[in-house]
This record gives sequence, structure tokens and C-alpha cells, in this order.
Amino acid sequence: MKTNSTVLRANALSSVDSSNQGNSPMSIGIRIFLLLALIVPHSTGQPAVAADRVKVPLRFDHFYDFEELTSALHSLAEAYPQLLDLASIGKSFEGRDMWLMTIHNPKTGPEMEKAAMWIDGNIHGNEVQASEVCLYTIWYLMENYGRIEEITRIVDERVFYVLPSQNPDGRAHWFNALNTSSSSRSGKKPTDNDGDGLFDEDGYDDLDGDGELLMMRRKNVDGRWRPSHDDPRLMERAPAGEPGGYDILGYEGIDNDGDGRINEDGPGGYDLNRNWPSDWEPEYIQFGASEYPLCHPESKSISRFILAHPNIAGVQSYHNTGGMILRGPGSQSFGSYPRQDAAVYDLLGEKGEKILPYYKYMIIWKDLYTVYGGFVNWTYEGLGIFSFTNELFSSKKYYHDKNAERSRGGNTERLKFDDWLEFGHQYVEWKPATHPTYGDIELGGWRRETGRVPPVWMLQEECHRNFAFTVLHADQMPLVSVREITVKSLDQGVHEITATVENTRLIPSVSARAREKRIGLPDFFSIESLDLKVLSGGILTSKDFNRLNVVEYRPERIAIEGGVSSAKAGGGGGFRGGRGGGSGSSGPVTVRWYVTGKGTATLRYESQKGGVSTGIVTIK
Amino acid sequence: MSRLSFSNLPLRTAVLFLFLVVATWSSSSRIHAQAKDLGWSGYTSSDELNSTLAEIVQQNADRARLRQIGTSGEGRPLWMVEIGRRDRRNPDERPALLVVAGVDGTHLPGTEACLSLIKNALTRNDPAQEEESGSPDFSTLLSKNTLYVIPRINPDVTEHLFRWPLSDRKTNTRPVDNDRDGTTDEDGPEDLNGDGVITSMRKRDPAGSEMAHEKDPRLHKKSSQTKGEVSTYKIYPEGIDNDGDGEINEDGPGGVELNRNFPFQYDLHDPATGPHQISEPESRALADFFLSHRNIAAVLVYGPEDNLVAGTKSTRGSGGPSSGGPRAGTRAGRGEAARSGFGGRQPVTSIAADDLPYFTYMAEKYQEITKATGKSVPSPAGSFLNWVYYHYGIPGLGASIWSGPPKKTEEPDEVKEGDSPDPKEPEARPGRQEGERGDREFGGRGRGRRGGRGAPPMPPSAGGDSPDEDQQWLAYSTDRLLGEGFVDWSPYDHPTLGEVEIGGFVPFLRLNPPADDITPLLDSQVRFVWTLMGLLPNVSVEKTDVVEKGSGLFEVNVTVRNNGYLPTALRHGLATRQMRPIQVELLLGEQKLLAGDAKRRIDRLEGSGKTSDHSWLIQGKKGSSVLIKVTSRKGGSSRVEVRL
Repeated sequence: MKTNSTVLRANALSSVDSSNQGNSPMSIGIRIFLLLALIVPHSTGQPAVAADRVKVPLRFDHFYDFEELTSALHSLAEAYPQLLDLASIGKSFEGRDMWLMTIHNPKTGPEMEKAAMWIDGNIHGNEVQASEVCLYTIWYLMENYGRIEEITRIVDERVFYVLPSQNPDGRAHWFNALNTSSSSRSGKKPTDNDGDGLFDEDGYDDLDGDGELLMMRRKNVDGRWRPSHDDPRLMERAPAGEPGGYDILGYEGIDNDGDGRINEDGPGGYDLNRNWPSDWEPEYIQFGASEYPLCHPESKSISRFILAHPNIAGVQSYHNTGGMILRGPGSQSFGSYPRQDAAVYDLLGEKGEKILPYYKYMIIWKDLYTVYGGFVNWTYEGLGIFSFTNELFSSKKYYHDKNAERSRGGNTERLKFDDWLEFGHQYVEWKPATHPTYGDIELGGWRRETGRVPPVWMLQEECHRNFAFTVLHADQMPLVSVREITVKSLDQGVHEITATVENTRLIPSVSARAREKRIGLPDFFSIESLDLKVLSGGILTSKDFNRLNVVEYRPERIAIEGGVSSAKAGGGGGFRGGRGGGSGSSGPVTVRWYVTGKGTATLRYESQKGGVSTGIVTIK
Repeated sequence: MSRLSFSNLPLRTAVLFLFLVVATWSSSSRIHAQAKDLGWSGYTSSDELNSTLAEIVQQNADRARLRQIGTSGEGRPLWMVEIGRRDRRNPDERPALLVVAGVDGTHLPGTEACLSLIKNALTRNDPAQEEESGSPDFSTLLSKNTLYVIPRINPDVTEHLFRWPLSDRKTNTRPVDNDRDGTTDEDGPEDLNGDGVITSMRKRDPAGSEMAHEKDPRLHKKSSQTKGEVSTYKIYPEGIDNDGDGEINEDGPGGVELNRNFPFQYDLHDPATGPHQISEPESRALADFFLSHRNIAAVLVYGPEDNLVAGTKSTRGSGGPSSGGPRAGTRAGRGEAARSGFGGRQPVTSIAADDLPYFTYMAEKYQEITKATGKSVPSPAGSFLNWVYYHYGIPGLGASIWSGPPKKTEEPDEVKEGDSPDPKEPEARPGRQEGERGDREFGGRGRGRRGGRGAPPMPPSAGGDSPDEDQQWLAYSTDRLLGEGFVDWSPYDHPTLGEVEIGGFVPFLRLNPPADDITPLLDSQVRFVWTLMGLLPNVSVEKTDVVEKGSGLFEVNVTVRNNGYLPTALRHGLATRQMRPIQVELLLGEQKLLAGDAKRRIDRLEGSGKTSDHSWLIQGKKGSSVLIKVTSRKGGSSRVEVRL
């Protein structure tokens, strides 16, 4: 018996096109240079990029307001037209564009046949630096495409969808209106928070017209607050039995609607990150949930895009603050994630803790608080995509002290930090003002750029480390590859084709969650030929014992429900050494077909989240 | 009178002809030599609805406005008729009742009830005409309240019932890949025997799970191996395996079931519930209309679900204070324990003990007025009806109008004019309507729920419900529909199964009787709606008085009263935090408020004359006047001038 054996390696993505950098006309670069208000003439060196080769010299010691962010994105899109595509996927409530940047090299394969990484930020309008991390991600990938081999490979292999701001209205207001570091979290649809039939009628007010939203205090012999004994600029509660002398009256504002309350119905008043379809609960269970899932234009537009892109295989949604790498579940009542998926999460999360000093890998409900209807809960629990939320910036970074506390003592330390490293810019000392209800008061306290965002000069490292973690995540998205094809000829003109597909990355092509809830399509392994006739076929579960799960119907297109997981994620060796397991039958998938005839066939493995890989087999 | 037409052959032929005309004109589907006459031609088609509404509303602009609140997936307008006398008060600020039909678009009688209601409201001459049963006079209702009627929210699905072949599809036509093979809607049913309906196929197969019913071999029942019963049949839905995957009709046209697309107890991972909550244009239009009309104080849904005909039960122990904290009733399928503090609450899944008597009272009114009997039919998970109560604290009522045929009596053959369901007969609804709307229905939950590959969809109509009930429905078909409700088994040579028989019950037989049988039931539905309108909260200033304290000091007292039956907020309404309190506001001129808040809040004011007292101390000129403004979103608003 003659054995005809063909071994093929085929991977649509293996060829790297390195010819498409540097071919933009110089004039564009110059034009952008002139357009950008934020340009620094190479003074802050970008370590990975020689200064003279920077095409779009964006600064990362700056927080971009919505307009600046928009123009920076346009500059990048114009500078890298071969790889970038900037589009508005919808409008915010107030009519701002939801800008989404697609990073994709069409020369290395169709977009929908590549695993895509979704990256967003700033769903809470005040959590601004999330957008800078997104912007940095696009910028770094572009500036280093063709310069750094790994970056080039990743850009060629994958697609990135980057939405720097999920909440453009919240962002715009945080910059342009009176806010604390924590306000303007909401979108800006007017909401009746105090149930009086009026909308957004009692927000903050700038009593002294200094443009800052500060705390109000008033001298009062019966007051229970006093200047801190550690630093008299700070206020602390007087211990029992000791005199205080001050009232703390909350943030700057008056009773605009005459209901006896101050600042109780400001702009918006809901939480866009409680508005997603998985594990959603109504307002009385989950504050901020809003009327129903995806009722807001922002969440609706985003969901429409995501549902239309089943190639999205990884999600990172940046927030601030606290230095966390979060994953679901958001609520205890959800239960726990499947063991195999949790193991993959753990491997990535632990890497993240190394890449991001002072960050902790945490589970939302258990280690932070309960969230119903969160974005990353939907993308994993609803869509089966491995998803993280990084809570950017940790106060431990002020002095690079992992024991730093956020308590009273921490505040004192922060004030010293402000004195020494920020030259007092972030703290406004108490000054007199007049209040229509409270009379003579004083205003003072932290400016909004304190606490939740890093000092601007620490921003770039924050951007880079988070970017690096997310790129690691992206690089571990599934990547399927037809590894081996063998042909054996049997009696009476029958040939036995055996083909193996592997996933060379950590994340399985079908998550255990997706398999359990039947989300999306299974993978398919098919044989397409004009010449050959498929008699039978199936999945080979044991090569040694020749165990074949015969597929009764349509054997030329075999559904692989569990997808293909990485051998690396399974037992033994690999990504991080012998932890956890892939998706059950870990490792490569082998199928076998029995065919008659002579000629050529294309073997095609297609995975919604793991890409497409083909091989050719010829029977002579 | 209603059944006359069916013993009248010429008329019947005319009806059949009309049906064929409708089928020819409205769809491109094949015309079948035979089309079943189910007596449905008397139901209003979408085109008829459009013209009827336009016509009747135009003629009565002083009482009604017609608005389009959305457009269906297939482009049909979604109509809402607002009924209320036009005067200075904004209809959207009066206590309102919302009546919706067709959230489950396969239920036909609801639209007829809505149309009767609209016609009645517009043509009726008040006030003395109908003073019966102590219902508030109609004229008052028209000016104090608003009635919103949405006669057909899901026209795309309803329209499907007017076309041939008739299948038991309950979903809209959003393309869904039910069998997850990458192709949508590629394996739907075929009318193999050309009789105009998709029924079922049975094949002699000991590997099946059914056996012939001993009393009537046309019916099947599950065979029980523990009783030594041997299966004789395997049942399939009528059709072929279009995509060669070994399954029949596993990925037909559509779609999403609208009444499973709402957020309460929504199942995200069932293809028939849509990609997410309120994902369909119809559900979004309905939800947005409801949410933008917070004056709606009660909702009545016409559809298969029914919590009026036999009342509603609080399934699990509820009660206790409902301040929004953890409550009785657990989240289905979830752990009881929740972390206290942040987000530790658990959703409520049963009617609050304090609210239940209101539901019961309204159900009793319904039974009293309509004389209807039957069994409660629960709402599916994700229903509109449950959503309005569980997430928004609004009483949600459901009525199916028709309670099925009378239980078989001694002389079944003669159907006499004037026969009506025996009100004392508890089995008056033998339809086990669950079978037509529940999880057993093929196509309904798409791919046999989680079954997916390998779990064939359940056939629609070959039985499987209680065999006794099937027998009753078979008798009903014979007696009432001249046999048109059941297709007798006849052999067919199937391309992949070989020798089979095709037959069984016609889809939606148990939900939609001939239209003529509905007509006599509509008057009492109209009367019930007016009664319900009279039960809405009705808040007004009961009395005011001024006590002079001397030196320009006055005490102003006001008593606010709810003269309606319903409270301004149900208990659970308070828990949901969706109830805006009643605001009692003192508006002063030159007077000075000495003590008290100018704006007072009443969280909840019970009905049947309950009152709430407020007083202020003011200083002003004797003889000057102050204004008291009472605003209740669900109980109405009023202003009273008080002279010092």
C-alpha cells in the first residue's frame, strides 16, 4: 500500500508586510505638526522612538479635553491611513461623536478573519486618563510599527478597536464645568434625581468665581470639625470631648430649587457602567442602572458595534482609580466563572500584577463591590469574551510605597507630595466667601486633578504599562493554525485525510462560558473541493486508539463546539507553567475525512474569535 | 347569533374566499388549493387597522388623537390612540390607563377588544346612558383621565397569522441563526401536504417517545416505559431538512418573541428572546412610550397571559415592610446570600403582600363584569406585563378575553346558538395554553431551548399536552370548526424520513377562536376598562381652612384626598423608587412663610378616600390669598386658592 503524505503549514498571517511604513508624504506630517497645539519639539524624549522619527508628536504629560482628543485621533488617522480608520459609531446624548479607531492591516488578511482586541475608556466621564491610555495605545503601535518587530507582528496579526471615550459628554463636562475628581461620572441626559419633577436643577455653583469646585466650611463653636493637627490646612473630625470649631458643608453650591437641599440634582445622575445587558438589575437594586439596558445612546451605539463584530476576542475597559486589574463576576449571585476560563484569567491577571506595580488582580464583587450590568460583565458573561477593567493609578505611586494608605495619614502625605513635587498647585488653601444660606464661609481643598488621576508628569508611564498589559492580553487572543495534514490511501480508491489545528495562544478559541451558553458560532473545520467526494468524517479523539466521533450529517463541515484551546493553557509547560486547563479537551483538534477521487481540496478552519487558517491537500 | 355563520354554508364560502383574497394580495406565498377556515377572517388585518383607526379618530378629534409611536421591523406603523377630552389639562398629566394588545402577536382577540374600546369611547353619548353598576360617569372619566390604547404593538407577528401557510411561529422576522451554523433562517417549515397549515409528521418508529392514545388514535401521548408501554411514533414538525444537518425546521424564519424581550427575569441566552433586553423596535417603542408617560397608573395587556380571569397568586411569601431593602422572594436561580452594603439587595419576584388585595379586587371586578371563567395563565419570563409591576411598581393586568370552549357536554354534536362557556365549570379552559405558548412549542424557544444541535424542536400540534385536553380540543374542532382545527393524518412520502403521516392540530387553535366567538365578549371588556379607569388614583384638595392667629398670623390647613380606588403608589412602587411623591406646594404672594417647607411630599396616599393633612404658619394681609398646588403624577393635579 502506497502512502501519500503531505505536510503543510499554512497561515494567512505569517507573512509580514514591512513595506508599508514611511510611505506617507512628508507634507502630511508637516501639516499635522503645524495643526497640533500640543506639540512639543522633541523635548520629552520618547524612549522607544527616536525623536526625529516621530510622525505624530503627541504629548502624554497632558489630559486631553474632548476636542483635543478628537483632533489627536484625526491626526493619527491622517498620518497612518494604511493602518488606521477613524469612524464615529454614534452620537452621545448631547451630540458628540463617539470616535472609534480601528487598527488593522488589510494586507495581512480580512478584518473579520482576525481576532480583535476591544479597548475603551472613560465610561465614567471623570475617569479621564483612561482616554490617554487609549490614545497612547494607538500612538505607540503606529509609531513603532515597522520599527519594533513584536509590535509589527501584533499589528499584522490582530485588529484593535479603540474607543477612547465611552462617555464624551461626561468627559467634556469634567474639563469644562465645575467638578471634583469624582463628579461628571454620569452621562448628561437630564435626570430628576430628587423626584420633584425638575431635571438637573440643583447642581454645583462657583460661589467666588475662581473656576474651582471646592469644599465649604464655616466657623461654628458647636461644629465637630477642626483643622488637622498633622497639617492645619486639612480638616479632621474632632475626637469626642475635644472642641471642633468648624462645620463642613459639602461642595460649593447653593439651594437652587429652594427645597432645603444643596447640590442634590446636578447634571445627569446615572451610571453608564450599570446599563449593560448581563446580570442587569433595575434602579432599586443597582443605583444608576437607568430605565433598561442599553437605553442610552452611548451604550446602544457601542453594543451595536460590538454585536456586529464577533471577531472581538479580548476586552479592556479602562477606569480609574486604585490600581486594579478587575474581572467579573460583578455580583456574588452570578456564581463563579467556569474553572477553565478562570485559569486563563488568572494567568493573565498575575502577569498584569508584574507589569503594573502596585496593581492588584481582583474579582469585582468579591474584592471591590457589587456591580450589576457592568460593561465587562456583559462582554464576558453575555458574549464570552475575556475582559478586564483596569482601574488606573494607585496612590501608592506617589512615593512608590506599597504600604501607602488612603486614610487620614495618606492625605497628609499627599499634601506633602503636593508641596514638594507639585509646588502646591493641587491644593487650594481656605479663603473667605459668602453663601446665601450659610452666610460667611470659607472655601478650600483639593482641585479635581488630584487623587484619581496621576500628576501629569507621571502619566506616560501609567499609559505605557497599561498599554503593555493590554497588548499582552491581545497577543494571547486565540490564533488558530492548521498544523499538520496527512493523507493515507486505503483500498478501493478511498483516501484518509487527517488534519490537525492548533491554537498557539493562551486564550481558547471558544471560551468555556461561550460554550456553556452557546454564544456565537462554534468553530468549523471544513474540506472544500471540486474534485474530491467526502464519504465520511469526524473528530479524532484518540490517535492511538483510532477513536473517531463520526459526524453523521454534513461531514465536509465539522462543527467544533469547544473550539481549540492552547496546549499551553493545559497541563504541562507552556505559558506560565502547568496551571489550570484550556477548554476541556485541551490542545489541538484533529479531524479525519474519508474521501474518494483525485485532485485538490482546501481545508479551512474558521473561528469567529481565533481567525481563519487554511491548508491545501492534493491527492494524485 | 355568532355561530350562525358557520352553519351557513354560503357565508362560509364567502369567508373562505375572502381569506384567499387576503392571502393572494398580501403575500407572495403559495396559494394552496385548500386553506383552513378557522373563522379568523373576522379579525382585523394590519391594513384594516390602519384605515379604521385613521377614520374613527379623525371623526372624533375632540376626544381622541392618533399617534404613531414607532415602526415595526417590517415597516408597519405602531399606533397609539390617546383618548380623553381636550381641555386645558394636558392629557399626559392626567391619571392614565394603558391598554396594549398583541405584545404576543399571535393573540388575535386583543386588537378587537381595543377597537371596540376606541369605538365605544368615541361614539358614546354621555352621561346618563350608562349609569349602571355605580361606575363613575363617563363624561368625568373623559375629562379627568386619559386612556392610551395601543391596539397592536407587534403587527409583524400578527400579520403572519393572516397568511398561508400558517405555522406556529411566535417570533418576529429578525434573522436569527437558531442552529448556529452560520446561516440564518435556512431551514423553516414546508407545507408538504399543501393544506395551508404547518402541522406535524409522525413516523412509525419504536425509537420515538409517543404512542397512540387509547381513546382516539388520532392523538398521541408519551409512552411510559415504567408502565410497560412501547413507543410507536416519532413526531416531527412538518417540513424537510433544507440544510442537510439531520434536523427538520430547526432554523426557520425569525426571530424574537416580543413578550420575552423585557427586562424582568430576562433570559439573555435564549435566541428567541433577542440579543438583549428591549432590542426590538416594537419593544423599544412600547417601553419608551410607557416610560415617557409616568401618568400611567395601571396597565392592561390583552394576550395569552391572564391574571384577571382567576386572579393572581403571590407565589412566594412576600410582605413585610417594602422600604426597598431586602425582601421576600428570591432571585430565580441565584444564591440567596448577598453581600450586605454595596448592592446587597435582591430583586423582588413576587407580588408584595400589601399589593395583592388590589390585584385581587380588580380581578373580581373583571370576573363580575365579564362573567369569564378559566385558569390563570402566567406571563412568560421577560414579559411586558411583569416588567411594569416588578420594575416600575405599576399594577399590570392581563386578560385573554376568550377562555376556551366549554368542556364537552353530553350532546357535543349540536352547537347551538347562544352557547356560552359554563361559568361554573372549572375546566372551562382545557386548552393547556401553556402548550401553545410555553416551552414545549417548536419554533417558540428556538431550537428547543438550549437543545441546539441534536435536540429536535418539539412539534406544535401533535399533542403532548394532557391527552384529555387534546381530546377536548379535538371535539371542539369537530363541533365548532367543522373539523378545520385538526388535520387528519394522511400518508406522505418524505424525502429523508420515508413513509410518514402528516396531520395534527392547527396552530393557535387554542388561542384564537373564530372571530365571531369573540364579538359577544367585547362589550363586557369595554365595560371593564371603564370600570378600571374609575379605579385609578384621583387626588384632589378635599378641604382648606384658615385659622387667624392675630397680628397677621394665619395657619393654613389643607387636606389632600385620594378619591380613587388605587393608592398613588403601590408598596412595591415605593420599593422600586420609581414613584415620584405627591407634592403639596404653598405658593405665596407677599405673604411670608414663618414655619415649614413650602414644598411637602406625600410618598403614598391610599385610595378610597384616605387623606393627608398639611399646615403652614404664614404672615400676611387679611383678605389676601395664597395658592395651594397639589401634584400627583398618577393621581392628577389641582390648585386651590385660599383667602386669608
